[in-house]
Amino acid sequence: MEWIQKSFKNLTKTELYEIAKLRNEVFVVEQKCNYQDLDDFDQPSTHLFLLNDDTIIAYIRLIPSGHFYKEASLGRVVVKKEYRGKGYGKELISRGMQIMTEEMNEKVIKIQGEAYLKEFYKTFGFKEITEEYIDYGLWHIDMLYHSN
Amino acid sequence: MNWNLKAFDDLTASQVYKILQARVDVFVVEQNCPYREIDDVDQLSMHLFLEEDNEIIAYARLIPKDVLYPEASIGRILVQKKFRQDGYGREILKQAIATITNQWNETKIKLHAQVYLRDFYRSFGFKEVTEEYLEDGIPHVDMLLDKLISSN
Repeated sequence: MEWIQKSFKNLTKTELYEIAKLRNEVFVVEQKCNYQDLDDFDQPSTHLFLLNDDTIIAYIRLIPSGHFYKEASLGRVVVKKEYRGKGYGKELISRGMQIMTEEMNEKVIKIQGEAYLKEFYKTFGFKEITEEYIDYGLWHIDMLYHSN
Repeated sequence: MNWNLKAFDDLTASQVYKILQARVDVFVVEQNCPYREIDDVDQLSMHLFLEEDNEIIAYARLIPKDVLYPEASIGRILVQKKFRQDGYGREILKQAIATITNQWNETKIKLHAQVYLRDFYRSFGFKEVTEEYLEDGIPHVDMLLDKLISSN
């Protein structure tokens, strides 16, 4: 298995297709949510993923400040179904946050988390800044992380 | 405006993104259908699209025989919302049929058609070969164009 970190323009066509396929599989099909996953925030983002042979089994998108929010953000956190419960989610977030604070020099990270993952994000130092609300039919909550 | 006909290998990454984005816009969001749009049939298909200012106006996927069906097939046919009613749907289907029959030398083309477009496809010579059925919550019917029969 190999961790890969790339800007949008360095992704190969196959990597891009595999990323879009995994996100479609989880956020559209599994979560039964008819939304536009390919939202044009991919182009300014850094893409971090774990490759097992030719399959992407875990993925996270790191969005620099001033795009989705004025703060930096991370999202589209996904572990392929067959690979869940092995700690890849935790590793995605901690690697993602490390890249954002150390390489992208972001001090603050804001996320639109799915509410059922609130406790999970709290373990990384995220704090709730909104009530829970429904977006695209799913319960969300905004959370904020300050580095230092 | 320019027409493109490309194998997956010849598409740029940015074209792949725009194509998938246009398909999700229409088949997932507009049709309210959370299904597997990105299905690994693309690598085997030819991609026909009309582009203007880096924007995809119309798109269709041309699938060789023995991938989805024993016959060649056309799918994911779309015209972006703001470009509808200008005849692009007819134009792209005409080009798709011409490509499959003239370049691939196929005599039969099968469609997994949405029922509300049945008359549109009939006008090109397609005929129903199944009853209507529901797939992903949307009524479909399979239709076949047989050039050996329809060109009399």
